[in-house]
Amino acid sequence: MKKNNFKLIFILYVLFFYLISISTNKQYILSSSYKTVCGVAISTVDQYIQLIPNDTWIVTGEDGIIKINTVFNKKKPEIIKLKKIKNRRLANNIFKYKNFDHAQKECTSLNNHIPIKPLLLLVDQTLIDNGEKNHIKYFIFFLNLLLIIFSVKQLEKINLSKLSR
Amino acid sequence: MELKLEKFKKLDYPIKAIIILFLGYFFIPGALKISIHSVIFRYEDIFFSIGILFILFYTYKKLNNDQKKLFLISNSIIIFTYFLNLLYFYLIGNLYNDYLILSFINGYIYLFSLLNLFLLVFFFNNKTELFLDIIYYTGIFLVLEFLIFIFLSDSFIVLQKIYNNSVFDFNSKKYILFRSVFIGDHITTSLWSMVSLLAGIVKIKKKYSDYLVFFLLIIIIFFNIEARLNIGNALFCFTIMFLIKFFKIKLNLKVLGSLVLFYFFITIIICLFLYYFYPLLINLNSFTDRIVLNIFNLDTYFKLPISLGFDNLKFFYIENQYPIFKDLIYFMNLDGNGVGTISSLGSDLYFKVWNAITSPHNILITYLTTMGLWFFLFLHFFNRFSDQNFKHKQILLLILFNIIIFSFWNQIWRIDLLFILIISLIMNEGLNCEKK
Repeated sequence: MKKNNFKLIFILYVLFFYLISISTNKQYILSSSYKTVCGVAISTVDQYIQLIPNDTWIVTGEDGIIKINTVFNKKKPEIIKLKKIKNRRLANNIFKYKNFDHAQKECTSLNNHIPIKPLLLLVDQTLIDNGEKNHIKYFIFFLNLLLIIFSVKQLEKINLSKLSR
Repeated sequence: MELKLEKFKKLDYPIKAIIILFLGYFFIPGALKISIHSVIFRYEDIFFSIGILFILFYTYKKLNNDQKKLFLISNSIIIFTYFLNLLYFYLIGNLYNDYLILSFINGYIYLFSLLNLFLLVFFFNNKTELFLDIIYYTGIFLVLEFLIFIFLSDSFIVLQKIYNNSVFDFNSKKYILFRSVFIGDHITTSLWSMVSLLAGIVKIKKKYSDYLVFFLLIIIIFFNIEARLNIGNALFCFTIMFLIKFFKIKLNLKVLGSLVLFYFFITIIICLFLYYFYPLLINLNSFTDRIVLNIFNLDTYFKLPISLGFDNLKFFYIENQYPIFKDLIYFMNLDGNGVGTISSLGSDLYFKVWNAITSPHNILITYLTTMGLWFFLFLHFFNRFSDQNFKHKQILLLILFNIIIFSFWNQIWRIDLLFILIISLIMNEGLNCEKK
């Protein structure tokens, strides 16, 4: 029983370690937020999931804003440039897709009443480095392992037959 | 009844108090709650936690050294679990959030109650049949309430107010739902009825009135036709129980696990079959939404697979800015709204729309993320006791099976107490049997 406990802990922790390392292997995220002006909003992700390429995920925000996250593991200017292009291209594709079937909405600017055609706006673009957060995750993960080993060792000292009356 | 009262008087102190606490928990309406910073504190949970604290206060002296050791270690583990999670949020700079802190406090109190309920029943239970009787009696109250709901709810203003949300509009059709006042949710009402039915079936001396109660409990189970998955689950459970009885299959954890796995595959296969061959037959949106949400839950959990504390996985959704099971999520979306749902969980949009964050829609994922690796160690431990041959083994494992199936693709509130109680009864009986 004692050996089995530690065997199980070892196997599961190797498995969990593998999963956490897969989840954290791409530490950089280029996050670009877009919104539509005078067009059909580009939120409601379900309708265009087929457009989203590899290494990219979309997060829906408030006021019709979508955040396109592209992940990568090396912080090189050329990679960042390519990722920016990738995000923009995806945003354009979504924009076209969402505004394709609909009659072109046009709105007028408040000041001079000039009609404005539907536009796709880049609201924000940030490069997120998850390196530090990943280190924290590994730290917590190993602290948890220590707790488990310590607790299991303590629990094994208990005489099971005396637990129930 | 007098015989039952005699039995009750002979019970050990903590078990007697736990039964009273269980009944109190059942009778406090689920709708009674307060919300502080959008965190919901239910009166029944508060009542139960205070009750458990009092019982522990008076029982601690009665524990032997080994019991005290288990009590202290297991309680230290959950304190350390919450400390570790707070440390994580502190280190990433996200601790200054009232909702998070209050949810942690609420979750800790709830987990503390559940853990100590488990320990007290595990240490002191000596009358499993009495627990089954009590569960059956709660079913009788559900039946009485159901009759009042059917025949009198339109006649009295008070009842009209109590059952004011009994009509559910969906696709311009109206469905009547029976949400018990004691329980609050229609799916949990059906599940509780199922558990009561099973607890009642094992009664040795049955009267005619018992059969009437059984019949009405079955009606309640199938009454909430709006929850189609619920009906499917009930049919699946009845079929499996019939097959178990017919082929005289002896249950243990491995059989139970295989049946749950079978359920998992059969639901996915049926879902895919309907989507590809009969797309107009049934609306699968809600179901695929839950499947996608559960994949996202596992995905989020694997980014930090430790014990997260009760229902705390939801605080990690916003951290999941890129799911690794993305392709699987897309595949199981099946033209539903699942991707949209989880996409909004990556920002605070979901919270702003619903004023709450959703949780895993699967009881096993809830407990896996709550306990982390302890979940598997516990299963290993549980397996040992479920292999023993004790008196109520079959019915207790069947009740457990039903709870897992009903809450496999659903988030079911107010069922944890019953879930933990049944697990504890199985382990208590298993250990006693092993000792003999």
